[in-house]
Amino acid sequence: MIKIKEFTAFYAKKQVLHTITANFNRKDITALIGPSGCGKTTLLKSINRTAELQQEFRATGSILLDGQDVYHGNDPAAVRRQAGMVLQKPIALPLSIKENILFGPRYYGVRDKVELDTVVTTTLTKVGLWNEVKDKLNSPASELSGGQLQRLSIGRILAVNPKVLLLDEPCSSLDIKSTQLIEELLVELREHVTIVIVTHNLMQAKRLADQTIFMSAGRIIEYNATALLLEQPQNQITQEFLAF
Amino acid sequence: MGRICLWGSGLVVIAILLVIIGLLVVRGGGVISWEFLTSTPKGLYLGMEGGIFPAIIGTVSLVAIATLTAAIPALLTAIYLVEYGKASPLAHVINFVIQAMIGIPSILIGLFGYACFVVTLGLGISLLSGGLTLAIMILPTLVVLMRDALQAVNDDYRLLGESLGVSRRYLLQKIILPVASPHLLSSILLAMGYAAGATAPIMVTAAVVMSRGSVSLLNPVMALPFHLYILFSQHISLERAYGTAVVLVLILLALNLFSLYLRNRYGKRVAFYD
Repeated sequence: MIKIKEFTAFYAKKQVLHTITANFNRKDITALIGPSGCGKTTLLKSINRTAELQQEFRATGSILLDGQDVYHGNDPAAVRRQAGMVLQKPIALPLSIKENILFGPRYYGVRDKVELDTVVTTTLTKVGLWNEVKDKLNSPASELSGGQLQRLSIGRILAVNPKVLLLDEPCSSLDIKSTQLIEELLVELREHVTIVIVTHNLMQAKRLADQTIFMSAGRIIEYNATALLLEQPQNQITQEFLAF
Repeated sequence: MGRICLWGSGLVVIAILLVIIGLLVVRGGGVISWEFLTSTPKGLYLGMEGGIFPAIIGTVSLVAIATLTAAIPALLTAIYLVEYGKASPLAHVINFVIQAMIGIPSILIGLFGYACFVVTLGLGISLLSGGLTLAIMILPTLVVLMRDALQAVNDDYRLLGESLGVSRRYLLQKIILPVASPHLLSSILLAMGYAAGATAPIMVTAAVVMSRGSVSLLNPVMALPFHLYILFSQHISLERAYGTAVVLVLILLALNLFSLYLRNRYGKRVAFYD
């Protein structure tokens, strides 16, 4: 589980996160919602230390992943392995479907052929792609549709067994049917990983998330069980955002 | 009106190229024969008769040495600039130096090559001195072309690599270099053409009017552009000068066309994978 304590972040001189404190529980799905530019993506990227890839990023406070401060020590790669991130746009690496899944495992030293094959089968099954692609594992991944590709992207992350799955508006470029498949997938995955999802779609938050965090201007405005937050918002800013 | 001017300028460029090639072929096409391509220069003033075979071999050897020497350092520099240095002060300095080096007149590079390789390192007027001098000449151009080739690779791959926690090196080996390879190869071909046509750097470091014996690193060599220069500046044979020019231009054209072909294939490949 993830514990964020008094976390603040800056891009150059601009403060983008103001003393954020929050907990994301294991086997929960947490949704981050809020207007564009409110800092929700930065918060997401801070958890796996990809925010610091932007120039002049600075942060204070702590983010604990299973009790370990991710900002303690200087090995962002190890953090990113434990907290994989699915990007907004589905990306096919210029490799086959199979090699897309194995991209991470091969890097982390899996060499045994049987083990590699098992990873491919179980991962593709987990993300619900196996039946669709089992006959064309060696075809270029770019032949897949957007929705299939996004599920492949999730599989590529899961193949290295992360503890946390971070998703940055994973369905924003997908049609309704593909979105539905991804949502069903996330519901199944919550048994195995802690999921944090940034979404613009309030209905999606309602369908998926156990708890929802509403952010505005770099601050957490309201933080509650999803049903409560969406049905009975306490804060006036939240009320205005939801009414819109 | 503006559009007509643009069209006109384009047509003028094409016309200039066609006139040059046409002139060369009309004036020099007559001397080109199998014998011209495969025999050594002969005659009272050397080059009045016979062929240009040693010059072809010399130019190919010079270009080979220059490319072999410059390609790897250029690639490593380009990788540093794009994948590691990015906006660091060192990268800025390197970019500036490379840009400045491109502007150095080729005769100055020849002078440096003479001082450094021929005299100080004692390599003499030789294939090796000339090849290394050409390597210095093409290095900055190669770095720029290769840097652009790497920059053209879809940035999403880098983002994805980072979000998975894999190292830059792994991403380079597995994704970035394979994707960029046709473009990188095309850069090398362009640089080879540049080296093949250069005259000033080899005049004082490698080229002679007539080479004896077989090609060897520490012997001087003949070279197409230098042979051409001698033939017409000494009024030995204008027709043969044009003939030599045709051969040189054909080699350059072949390198450029091959480079273009690779880049087009690269374009299709990107479309295929996105």
